[in-house]
Amino acid sequence: MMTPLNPDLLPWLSAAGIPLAIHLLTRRTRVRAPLPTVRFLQRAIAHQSRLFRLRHLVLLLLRMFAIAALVLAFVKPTMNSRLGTTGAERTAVILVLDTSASMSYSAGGVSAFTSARNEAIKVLAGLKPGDEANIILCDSQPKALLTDPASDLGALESGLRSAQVSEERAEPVAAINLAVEQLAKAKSKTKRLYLFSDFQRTNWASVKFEAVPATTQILFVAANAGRTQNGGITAMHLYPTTPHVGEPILVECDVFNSTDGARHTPVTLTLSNGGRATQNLDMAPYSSATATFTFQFDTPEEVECTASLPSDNMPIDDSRRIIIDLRRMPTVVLITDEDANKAPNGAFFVARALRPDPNGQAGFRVIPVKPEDLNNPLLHAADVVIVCDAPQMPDLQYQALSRYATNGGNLLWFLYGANIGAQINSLGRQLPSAEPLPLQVDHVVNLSGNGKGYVTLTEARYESPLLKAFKDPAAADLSRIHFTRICTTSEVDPRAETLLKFDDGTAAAVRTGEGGGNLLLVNMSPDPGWSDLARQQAFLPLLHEFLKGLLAHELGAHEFLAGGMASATLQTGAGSPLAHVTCTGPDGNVNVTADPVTGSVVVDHTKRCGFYPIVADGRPAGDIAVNLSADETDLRTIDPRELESDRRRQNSYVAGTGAADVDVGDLGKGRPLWHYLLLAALLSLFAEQYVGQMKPRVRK
Amino acid sequence: MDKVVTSPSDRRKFLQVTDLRRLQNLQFAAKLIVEGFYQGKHRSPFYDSSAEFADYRPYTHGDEIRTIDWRAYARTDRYYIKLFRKETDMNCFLLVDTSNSMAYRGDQSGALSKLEYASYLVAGLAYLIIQQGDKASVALGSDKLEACVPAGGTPQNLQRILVALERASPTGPTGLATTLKGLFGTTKRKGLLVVVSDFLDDPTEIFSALSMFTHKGFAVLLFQVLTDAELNLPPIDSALFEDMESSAFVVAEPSAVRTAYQAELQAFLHEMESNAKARHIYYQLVTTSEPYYTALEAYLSVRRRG
Repeated sequence: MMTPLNPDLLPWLSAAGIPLAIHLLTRRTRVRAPLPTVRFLQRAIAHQSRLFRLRHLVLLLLRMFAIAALVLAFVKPTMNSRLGTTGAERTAVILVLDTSASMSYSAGGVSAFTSARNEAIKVLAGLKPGDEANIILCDSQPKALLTDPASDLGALESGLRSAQVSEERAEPVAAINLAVEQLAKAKSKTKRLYLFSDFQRTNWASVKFEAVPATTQILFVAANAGRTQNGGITAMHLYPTTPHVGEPILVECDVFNSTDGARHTPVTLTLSNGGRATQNLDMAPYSSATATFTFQFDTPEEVECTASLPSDNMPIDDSRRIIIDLRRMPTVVLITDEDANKAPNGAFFVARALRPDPNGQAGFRVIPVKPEDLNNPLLHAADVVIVCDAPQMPDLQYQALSRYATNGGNLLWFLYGANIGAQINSLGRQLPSAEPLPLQVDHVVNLSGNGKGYVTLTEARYESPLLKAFKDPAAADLSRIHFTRICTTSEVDPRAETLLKFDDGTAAAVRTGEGGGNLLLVNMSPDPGWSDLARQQAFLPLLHEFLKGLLAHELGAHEFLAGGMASATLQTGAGSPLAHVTCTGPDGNVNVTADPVTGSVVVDHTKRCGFYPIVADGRPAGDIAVNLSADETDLRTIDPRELESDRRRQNSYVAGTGAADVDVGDLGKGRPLWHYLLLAALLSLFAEQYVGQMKPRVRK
Repeated sequence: MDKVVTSPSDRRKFLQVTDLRRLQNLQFAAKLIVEGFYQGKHRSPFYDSSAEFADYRPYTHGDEIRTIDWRAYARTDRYYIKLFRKETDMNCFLLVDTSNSMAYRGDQSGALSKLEYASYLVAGLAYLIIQQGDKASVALGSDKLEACVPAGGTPQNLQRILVALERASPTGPTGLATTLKGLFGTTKRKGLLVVVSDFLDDPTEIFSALSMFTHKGFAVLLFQVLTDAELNLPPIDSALFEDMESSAFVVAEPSAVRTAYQAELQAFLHEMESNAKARHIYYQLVTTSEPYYTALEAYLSVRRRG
């Protein structure tokens, strides 16, 4: 479509009818001439070429076209842009600028972020007064520069120029949802959403655009298009997760080669106590390799451990950090409705088994909480959450526990209590549908007075890390435990790991993975009314091995990523609640929330990667390692056209920065056509002269 | 010179004084020996008593006694008959096409129409023929024989011819072959056939009809009369050209089609000329823009050379 810039001149287009009028008038006044030799005239005309015979019509059309083109040249029409707009209508534009860490990739001295930002500035510069715009910086928590889309383009440009690439991952879905909200607030009829990003496959592949109204134009502006050469450390693992003085500690560093060629790189591990080790890795294209380092520490201390690679085009992912806290006891949050400090009840026995010597450094740090007191800081601080005779809780609590487990936490649930069936069902409803509960609890059966009056453990899966200590019967005899009340269950999901079975075939302990974490359902109770478990010698090692095994399975539940919250559990002595806790991040002090009871310290938002030392009462109390999301290392991109095709609609466009074939600045611009029209008018006049002087070509 | 028609009362439209003076200097002679019942300047194949001595032959029984040359008998003592070459006059049939197309006078309103031009030409020819003692006959017709002035060698006959020419008006389509066939039926002996027409008809049919005359021994002369407008198309920008003998019409711009038109017309004229040449027929194209006696002069000069 075209839009005239001087529409007042459009009536002059009627001048194109002048040649037609002359033509018609000439026809009307044509001379009638008798001629005896008409037959020769007819033959002569018949033998002329069709073009020559039609040349009057051609001449007429050429003359009309010449006049029309000349008038149109003065009308100054503009061809609509590829966006189907002329540039004259009011437009609401939301620019989503990816500020995630991958945008810091720099090849040739210009980072993808800089390119994308420059393109975004171009788009802003192309807007007209009256257009509405807003900018959304897309990192882990996308935010708009202005509350609502506004015409204050100067402020937006200023905000855009001051925007910096973050060390966070991108959350494009959240950014798009925010953009849709912003566009809904805009009053302009034409709405446009620009996405400036490197379109990392890891971040964008799952993005859907259903939330974007069909009338909204989406422009994908790909930055950093082309070949990328990057390597980065994507994960660090510590085995055991809660190491102790004197025991061997394994540190694994996963390195990803985001390059289409093989890569040889040294991995250096640096410890804050002066230790240092290097290992060379060879990696195939787009694959991972693991560097393994072994240490042993003699003193109970907290060690900052940094793995690093030689700097490349994206330095942010060339280092990764982990805290080796040799002073730390694993924290167990014990959710129970019972009094964990008063015997006899199950929670009491569990708590005492976890930390037999309340003043010693062995065992686990137990934080008993009532279900209603459960909160997120507690869950963040927990290495393991044990549910032991809890009442039916609100769905919110089950949701929190489900999220805790799927996010990498370890949840151990003793299947006993009055409402255990309902509790497990409630938990199951909150779990991801792809990873349901491994079993359903039917009801509690009391075996007293039936047969021998109890069941015992007869089957064990000793290959499991959770039970390998019991492979030797001398360690503890699990079969000696008598269970007088157990829960009857459904068949165990074959994908789950059945660790123990009773002699009647009922599952006694089942472990399953839930997202990044573990769920261990233990169909037994230390309550004296349910079993003699608490009195048995095997109880303490069984519980400890269960927890150790769960912790060994831990898949980075406590790895904190830039852009999110981070937490640590400080070791508070009895009667010394935390006071005046501060935390200093790479950019200075950060806001912290400390729970004086549990010792939980939460940093609300970590912007940068690095160590976040915590100071309590003027003394160093702990440390938090914040790292880059592993997703940012893999720079393989998804072609925006794939995203475009996913949308199954027409009004989306793909542009690029620099190397791409379409310049985003041109997408929204109407192209002036007056010079083409002037040229067309001249050409048609030349053609008119040529056709007018055309000689007939007589065919023999 | 035997007779010259110069009386003012005899002057007609198509035979003006100026024309007569010019025609007096012309010698119209047919190359053929024609039959005739009347004495004239044309040699006859029959020997007879006449002014021109031809030969002697011995007297045989049956010869008339009065034919014996007594002077030769006195010299030779033998009977001889004196032979004379008999002179006969020639019948000239002048056919004028009176079809509608002959009314065309080109793009100039005051110019002669083709029929008028043909009439001038025929009048001149008739005068010459009669002046030299031959007989002239004029036939008029378009698609059939419309009128015919019988052959005669007297001034009165010339008058009748001129009147007939004056009364002639264009009518009907061209059907020259039919007219020629009609005329052929009226001829009793060979002579000279002069056809003055635009010949805008099928040449095959025309020459088929003319073949009858040539086979009978006629000398045939064709004068094709066209106007300059017909030869080159009128010098106008654009016009609706209507055919004069049919309802056909065509819109054309002469300047655009002139070349092609001339090519078509020349092809037709060439066909006419080649057909005439193949049948030993004299053919001449004349245009109304040139005086008709020019055509006569050209013809006679050709005849003299032949």
